[in-house]
Amino acid sequence: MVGKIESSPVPRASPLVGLSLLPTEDFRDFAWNLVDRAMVDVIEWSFDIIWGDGEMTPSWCESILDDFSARGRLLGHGVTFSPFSGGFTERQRWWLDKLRAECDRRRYVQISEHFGFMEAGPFVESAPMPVPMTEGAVILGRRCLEALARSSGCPVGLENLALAFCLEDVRGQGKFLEEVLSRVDGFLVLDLHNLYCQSVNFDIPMSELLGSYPLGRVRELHISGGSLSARRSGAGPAIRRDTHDGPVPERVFEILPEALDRCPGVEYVILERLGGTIDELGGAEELIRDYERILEAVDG
Amino acid sequence: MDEQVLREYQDRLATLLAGEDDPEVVVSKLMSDKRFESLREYLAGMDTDMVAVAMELVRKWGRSKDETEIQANR
Repeated sequence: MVGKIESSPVPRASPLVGLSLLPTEDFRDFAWNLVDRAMVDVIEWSFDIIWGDGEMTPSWCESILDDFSARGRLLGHGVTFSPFSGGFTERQRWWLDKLRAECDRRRYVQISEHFGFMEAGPFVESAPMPVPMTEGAVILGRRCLEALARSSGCPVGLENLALAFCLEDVRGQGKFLEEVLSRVDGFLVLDLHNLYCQSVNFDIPMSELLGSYPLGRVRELHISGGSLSARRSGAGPAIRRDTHDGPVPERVFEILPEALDRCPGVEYVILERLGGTIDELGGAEELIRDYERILEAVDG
Repeated sequence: MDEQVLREYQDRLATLLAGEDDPEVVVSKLMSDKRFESLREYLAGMDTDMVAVAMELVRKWGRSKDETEIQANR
């Protein structure tokens, strides 16, 4: 008689928790404080923010990046590629060449970019804007993601966008991302604060909005804070903005355990903060508290 | 909507966001542009308060080709 083997569920490994590193002075003490205490599992680096600005990265920042690269714990997160800009520009070709060189220089686990477009009209760089979901836009997004994968040699993904012009942008973004990502088996960087912004600005429960995204593709969560600004029309509640300059809202912490449960493939949880905003009004202590709460949620 | 129209829409939107002061004018100019007929329903749903946010964002973060070349040559 063959004995019955008691199978127990394989515990899911906890996601790694880390920081989006910025090369600003205020980040130096904050980042080293956490790195020295071995509280940072992984670093995310927006490699392109220094391109075109003399490409100078402070030595303390280089040191952290090289260390995490050597340990296979460095994530790349582009900001300025503009994957949904119609056409394919010289600047985008230049960007891909720079990405190839960056990936030769440092070892990245994965590369992600932002949903939306910023290169258009008078601008080569700007803030990402929403794109109406059309067949042409889906094809364009797939093509750009394939180019990202070729240039980086890494798994590639996209982050959901906070800004929405209309309900269609909010309701349709998850489906749009799935249409694009499925072609390259790409992953989703689910930014919970971006989701929160849309939830507040379009009055949709966060759980419901979460369910509209392809959660099986989520490999990384972003956590950040933001701010409120009055509506220009004066009608309705204030607009939630993804400004990365404030504490993480309570609602984002509340949704984090649910997001971890519903996204079984999450490997990384990253705290984001805008450079130059940490020292203001006890920002460093506040940010460390936010980071510790993320660690608790992930370990819990 | 093909890629050419998408490009034209994005160029026009970015130009209006940078140059107009009233988000309602931005939306109405897009709505009346025959090239964007296929986007009429999408454009009609635009919340002008969110368009105002976009106007602020491009003015804060937008950089022209000339500006980025100046930075690169520093």
